[in-house]
Amino acid sequence: MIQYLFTSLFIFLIAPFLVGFIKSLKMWLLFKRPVSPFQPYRDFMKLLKKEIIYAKEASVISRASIFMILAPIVVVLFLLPPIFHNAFYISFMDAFTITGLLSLSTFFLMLLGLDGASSFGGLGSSREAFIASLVEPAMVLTMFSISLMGGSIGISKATLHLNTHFPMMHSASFILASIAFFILLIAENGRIPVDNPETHLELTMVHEAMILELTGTNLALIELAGALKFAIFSTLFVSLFLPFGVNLVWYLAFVVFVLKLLLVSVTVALIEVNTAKLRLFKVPNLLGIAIIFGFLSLFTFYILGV
Amino acid sequence: MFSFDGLSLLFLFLILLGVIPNLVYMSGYLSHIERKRHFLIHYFMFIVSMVGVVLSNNLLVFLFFWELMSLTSWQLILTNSNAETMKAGRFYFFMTHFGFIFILLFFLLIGSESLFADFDSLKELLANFKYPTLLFLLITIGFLSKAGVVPLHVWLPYAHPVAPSPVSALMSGVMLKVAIYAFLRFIFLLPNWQIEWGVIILVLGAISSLVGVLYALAEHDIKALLANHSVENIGIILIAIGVGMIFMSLNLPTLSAFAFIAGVYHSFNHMSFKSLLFMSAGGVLYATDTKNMEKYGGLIKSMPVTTFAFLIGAISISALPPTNGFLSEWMIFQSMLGSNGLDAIELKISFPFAIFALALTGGLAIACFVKAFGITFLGLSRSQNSKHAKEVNGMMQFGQILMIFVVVGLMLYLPLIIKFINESLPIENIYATIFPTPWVMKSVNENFGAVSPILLTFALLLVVTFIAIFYLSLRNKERICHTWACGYNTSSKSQYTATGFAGPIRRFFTWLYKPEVHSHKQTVAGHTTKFESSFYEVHVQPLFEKSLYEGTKKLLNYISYIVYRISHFEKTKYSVLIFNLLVIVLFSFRVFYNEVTWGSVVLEVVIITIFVKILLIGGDKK
Repeated sequence: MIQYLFTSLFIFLIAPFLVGFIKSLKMWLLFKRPVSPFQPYRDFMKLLKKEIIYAKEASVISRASIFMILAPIVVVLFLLPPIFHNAFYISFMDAFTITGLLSLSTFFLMLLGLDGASSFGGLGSSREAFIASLVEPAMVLTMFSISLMGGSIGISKATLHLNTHFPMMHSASFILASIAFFILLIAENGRIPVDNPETHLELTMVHEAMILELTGTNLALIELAGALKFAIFSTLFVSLFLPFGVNLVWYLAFVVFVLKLLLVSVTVALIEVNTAKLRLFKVPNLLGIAIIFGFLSLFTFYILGV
Repeated sequence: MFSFDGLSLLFLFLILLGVIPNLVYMSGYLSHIERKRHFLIHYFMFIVSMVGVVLSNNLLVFLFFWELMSLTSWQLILTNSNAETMKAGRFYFFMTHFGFIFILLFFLLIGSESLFADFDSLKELLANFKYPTLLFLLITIGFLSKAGVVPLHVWLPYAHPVAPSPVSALMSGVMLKVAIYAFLRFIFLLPNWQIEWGVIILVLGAISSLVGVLYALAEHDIKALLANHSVENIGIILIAIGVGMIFMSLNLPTLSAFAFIAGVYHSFNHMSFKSLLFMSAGGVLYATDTKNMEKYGGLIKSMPVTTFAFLIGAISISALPPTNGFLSEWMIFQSMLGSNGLDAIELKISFPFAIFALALTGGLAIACFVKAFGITFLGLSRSQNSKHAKEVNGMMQFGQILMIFVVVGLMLYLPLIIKFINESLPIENIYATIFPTPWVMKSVNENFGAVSPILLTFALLLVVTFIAIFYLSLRNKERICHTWACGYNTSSKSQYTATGFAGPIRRFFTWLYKPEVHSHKQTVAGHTTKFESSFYEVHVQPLFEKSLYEGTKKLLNYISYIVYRISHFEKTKYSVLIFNLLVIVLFSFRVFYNEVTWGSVVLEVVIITIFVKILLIGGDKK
């Protein structure tokens, strides 16, 4: 139980660091002087002290949706797979619940964008709705596929199963599913090439456009939600698609887990530095790849049999 | 004449859940209706006829109430008679009787004594029937045309918007479920199901769900949007039923029971949230006098109760946890996961497509309801109508609140509902497997999926409370200011419109929508970028209506032209015609009542061809 709580707390605390780490790594790769990877924590503390400004045009949704965006993500934090082999995990919620909770958060984020009567907010919501609706099938197909390989749709059980009995016969469908999931990780967290988290240019922004009206604590909480979402996706990726290290002694398992998280961050940073942002109407091509890979992964699994 | 067995009582329960809040709502809405007596008579007759359909235990009684249901709902559509309702009414009348013909054919085929037999003895009659697939097809077309399955869904987006809102809520929420009831009732009477039947239902369901949600996204009329969503949800119900039928014909009773329960539970859920959505959409219509979403905006400030009701309905219909809509969709996904245990590889491979269809539907439904809620209730008012809107009267609010209780109740009392459904359907009892404890719902297959709505709600509330405490402890200062609009004044015109919101998706699915764009710009002194006023309108072409229905019309015209040509000739031709008809009747009689061999079929076709040749070509020589 302590290990379980420790895991959740650790992921909660490391989340802003991962986002900051990607940013500073990117700056370093572009020969800029990198900011500290701990900058998101400083921003968070700074924003908490600031005054909150609400729009006159906005309604109660602007106030309520802050909670409804953050709360499902925090709940998901407690449903994540264990990083220690003998740790407690929640067995009565499964992968569909996790995708559902993430969609709930996105739903309120999109409402928040429409609430301020600003054209930027509407623009962000509209694009997010477009991307999110195409992410959904890829996500479900990938989850199906990995749950079949892991022998359980409850991802904690699947993680432990993949660690002990890796399905060598199904490595093809495993690799296809992992590529699909990595694309989803990029798309859902608004990284390049789907969305650029660093600009405020109306041509490119998706996530930033929806939260343009937020200030102070509200902004801090939404930024935290974004960071947590990235940490959740990374954790899911490293637990399900890099299934090793969980059975080691607890401190080694922990070190391996952190290294895997850093590996994902480095990969994302490398992708961000080396690709340009896609036009909005090219994004379906990328997500189409994820969907097709999800399909192929399921097909190869079915054809090879259990 | 009437029976009170499990299935009847189950759907009686569904009707009652849908009707009671509706009655309260209707009493508030009544002041808006001009022909009160006409409306009330048909409204109550409509309810009575639906109850009659689910309780009847005799084909004749069933048919009577079924037809009464069609006719009363038809009259209810015509409550406000104008050109639009007349067109919708005519369409509805035609489509509903198109289905009725197939139902009648089904009953006549079984045999003459069947009309007075009760359903149990009907089962024996059906067991002796030689061509059950024919009966299956008749049932499917007959009942599912009423349920609104693609391609027989075209009447829904016409009929539901023009009916008064309480009636739309009843028709969409309850009447479609009565059609599902009838389908289930007769499908369970048919003996030895073929695997193809399940596949047909699954495919129909998958297509309906996608087509429904895609057309809903392109819709600007709020009630037509909801009507298209009914097509989608009927599709989801049919996916579950189809999966259940496939598993049943493969002799996997546990998995099949789970899928059937999922389908019927989704019928309950759809009844609850769709009634709720139609009620609040009706409230908006009542307050603003327009159905056009582009004229709404900012209604959350003037109509808080209606907004809240719509929000609950929207979250539930988008299948977001922890609502009841999510739970039934979860169950359907779980039952599809059972496809892993199948032996037939071609069937196994087809399952990912159904999963894909269902998941894409879910994603698009979220987009659609963000649009519906966001454009209608958030932002600034886009017209005078919505600026001066007032909250609806007390009875209408009370009706919506009652319906919210039904939605939440279906989620909280999940184990009880599932138990009721399981015991009412003629399937294996799997209640104990799904609910080892009442808190957690488990899946039946070996992959151990589980979900717990109550714990999930509790966890969400707990986290929200924590964040709220943290938030309040900061004691930030607050300031109210205008939305930043790059230095310009924030105005209702600079907001996103419903058309704009669905823009990316409409563009991505251009091949389906084939949109017709009307745009008009008044430019300033020849500049291409500066303009005083601009007008942009997009109309999505209803593909099925354009291709299928227009095509049928053309075909019928062509046939009637041939018949016309034939019927103006001499006696020999007439006698050939009569003889030919006789031959066809006799042969088809033989097909239904005797064994058929390929040789005889070929012989019959040759004879008919010769006579047709004499009939057509022989005439031209003279």
